Amino acid sequence: MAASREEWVETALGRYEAPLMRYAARLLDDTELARDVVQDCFVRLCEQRPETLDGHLAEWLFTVCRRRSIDHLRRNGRMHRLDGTEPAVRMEDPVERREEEQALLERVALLPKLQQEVLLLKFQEGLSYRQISAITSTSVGNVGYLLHHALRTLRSQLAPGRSQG
Amino acid sequence: MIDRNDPRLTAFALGEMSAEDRAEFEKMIEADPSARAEIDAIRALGAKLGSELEHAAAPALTEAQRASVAKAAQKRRIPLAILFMPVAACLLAAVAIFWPNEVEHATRVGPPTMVARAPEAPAPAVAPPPGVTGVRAGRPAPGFRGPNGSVAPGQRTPSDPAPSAPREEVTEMLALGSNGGGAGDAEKPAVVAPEEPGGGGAVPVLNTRRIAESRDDGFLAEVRRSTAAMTAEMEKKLAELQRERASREGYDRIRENPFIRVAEEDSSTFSIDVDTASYANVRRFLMQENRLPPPDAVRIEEMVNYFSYAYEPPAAGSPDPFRIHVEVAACPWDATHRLARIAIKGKVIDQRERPASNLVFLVDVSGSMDEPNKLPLVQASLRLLANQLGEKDRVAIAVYAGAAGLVLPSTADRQQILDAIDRLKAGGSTAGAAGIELAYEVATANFLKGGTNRVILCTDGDFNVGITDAGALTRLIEEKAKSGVFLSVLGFGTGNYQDARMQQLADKGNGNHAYIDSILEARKVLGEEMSGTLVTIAKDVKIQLFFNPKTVAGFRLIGYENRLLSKQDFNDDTKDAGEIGAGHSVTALYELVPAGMDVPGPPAVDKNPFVAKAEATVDEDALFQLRLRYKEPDGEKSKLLEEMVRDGKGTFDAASPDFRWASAVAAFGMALRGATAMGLDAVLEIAKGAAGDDKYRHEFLRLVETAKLLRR
Repeated sequence: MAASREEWVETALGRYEAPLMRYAARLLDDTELARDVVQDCFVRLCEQRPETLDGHLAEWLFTVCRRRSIDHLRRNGRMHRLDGTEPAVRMEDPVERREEEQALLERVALLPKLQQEVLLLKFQEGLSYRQISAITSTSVGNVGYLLHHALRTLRSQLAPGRSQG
Repeated sequence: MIDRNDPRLTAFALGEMSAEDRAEFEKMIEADPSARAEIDAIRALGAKLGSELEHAAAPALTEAQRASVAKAAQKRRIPLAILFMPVAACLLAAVAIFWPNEVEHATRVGPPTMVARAPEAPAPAVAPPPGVTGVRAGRPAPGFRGPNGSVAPGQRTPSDPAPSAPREEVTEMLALGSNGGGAGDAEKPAVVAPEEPGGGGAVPVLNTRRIAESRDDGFLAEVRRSTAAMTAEMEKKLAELQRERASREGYDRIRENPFIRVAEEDSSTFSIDVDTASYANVRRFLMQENRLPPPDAVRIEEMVNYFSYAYEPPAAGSPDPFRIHVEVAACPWDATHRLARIAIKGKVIDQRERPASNLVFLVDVSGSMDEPNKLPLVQASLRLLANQLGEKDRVAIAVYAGAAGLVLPSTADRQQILDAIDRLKAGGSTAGAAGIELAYEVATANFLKGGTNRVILCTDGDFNVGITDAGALTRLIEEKAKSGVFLSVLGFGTGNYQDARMQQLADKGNGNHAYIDSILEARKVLGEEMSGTLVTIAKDVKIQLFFNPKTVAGFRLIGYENRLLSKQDFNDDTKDAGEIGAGHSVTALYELVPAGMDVPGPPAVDKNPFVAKAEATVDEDALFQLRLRYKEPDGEKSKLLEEMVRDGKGTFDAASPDFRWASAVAAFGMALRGATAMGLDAVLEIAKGAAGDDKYRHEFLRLVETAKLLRR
């Protein structure tokens, strides 16, 4: 780790800002809150020693991001819902996209929360079972289980002719 | 044939298997074209998901937010500046001072461009250094987008040394599907523990203390204030995290038994239950985690049955393996009601007279067991048990994780047993069903007629490979229980503890269920009460009460919500019920509403005009007839015992200490479940008067005290 802390943080910001924003926005359903959480993650990163996170940066950032998001949800849970603000960020992107794609992503959005989260960490962020297990504090086995079932559900829905199991 | 629900298919398709598991799995699918097709389909969907999700829009931080991050990163490197900066910012900076090695290191080893940029004088608090803002200002507003876009070349200074580790990590992170990445990470999991106490989060606290030695008081006071606020915040966060953990533990909703009008239903039937798991789990919440347990983790009958009572065992030569003790007195939380205690005490078997045993330890060695309060505690517990076994006792050890295997064939050699226990290691995912199959197979192969044949399952209950459907697993256990092999389910661990499922397995497997939260609990269950845990003296024990409408208007069974039977089940010998072990006692409490009083609850159902009035009672004054059915451990036909119970009209204070103790424990359980009938002060008072010198009862007093404090 030969880089200065500034550059280390800057590199991390460059690489993980978008993934973390996407992750936090989905957890929180709120872009502004997601921004605060992600900013906070990086400020906290500044307090870390680069060498302790060597090789674990992604896990660390996603874990902090998740915990901070959950903090927010718990603290503001009631307010948030009562104030009637609509979720700011959705999977659907207004930009034109093939219908098939739309259908698949809509199906993803219908999966149980934890399955969705694990699926996105896997396929959107490319994290390993082990990393996802650390981030979501569930066992590696359970990550595999959730993912397998999420994929099975998607497949059975996309190919209605085929029965499940 | 591999089950299509087997998550190994996905793990294999995504390259998430260890080389060993992979080789084994490849062999398995070699002759299974449908499994291979399945894997291809998973890969195809994975690739499709990857490419589509890649384009999902991500909002970006604002420029101001990025600038503040850059500033935070930069401040770390100018320690002297803290004297001049606003206090809030100081805390961050303060940390830097006390990592002098690191600062030094960065200055010495770092590339020249960086050293040049490092300001030696206090930086203005607002303006970030040009090196940082310059890069950010040139960035398009949405920031880095999508996995591919997230590495933005050309946005860094040409002299950038491009630190290698994070870049590799990103490459790995973006490698979708095919290899999943993380091969390196698998070797060193859980190194990172952000925001845990003692971790990174605690650092500022320590450091500000050291600042105290050299800085002036005003500054110090400010730092202390902020530090206190931070510590408080961290503690709060920790508590929230714990709550979050608990929410992943699996508890089934318990609906308390309501009062029932005798005019509408004159009988009550339930299965006995000697489990004690809930009490140990409640104790873990109160004493180890310092919080009240979730209401559904509180099963009152398991709390009451955790304690030993001075009930007389059956006399020598008694035809029945247990003795029934009924006591009625005033109800402590409602003086107008009566409380009836029905207790059963199993015959006591001396350690030396214990029949030979054929035990199979089935140990969950999956990855989730790799925690200090899991596998190491399992090993300590099993050692404890093994050390008490005699020459006629045999032990086999089977483990399960990704695959199930026998690590110790059945043997009576104690040293071999102990060595095998020591060798157990955690790793892999949990294929519980295959392990259960194997354990029963070994137990059946070594079956001892007239002896103790038992599978002892040690797990956190996180079954997730193979048969994962809870129903299928319980059916498997139910089927296996017919072999005459009994089951003990020992639960370990926190955070992911699947209480409901474990209880169900024990219930269906002719077994008992205990939660081992500490080595002391292991000593109680596998040491002091080992005979009771191992030796079943009666099975399918059912209790039925017929109430006398002339003396009782209504009743309510306290606890046993999961053990209720329909009245028809009582005489039906095919209906499974609870077992009782040697020396075990079982206590059940009924709250009775005397005749002529209002029964709490919804309004009464009207009388059916076609049905005649109640006929003459056999015993005018009796409260109820107690009926009990049981089978011998290897029997098929049940025996029936009957007894009339009258009310001695005694006060609560005049009741036996055991009666008062059981009432206090039940009242505590009800309070933890949210009932307000009796406050914790009153519970404590009754309990203190009935505790005697039993160490477990004294521990209970501390639990109540703790719950009182946590309630505030």
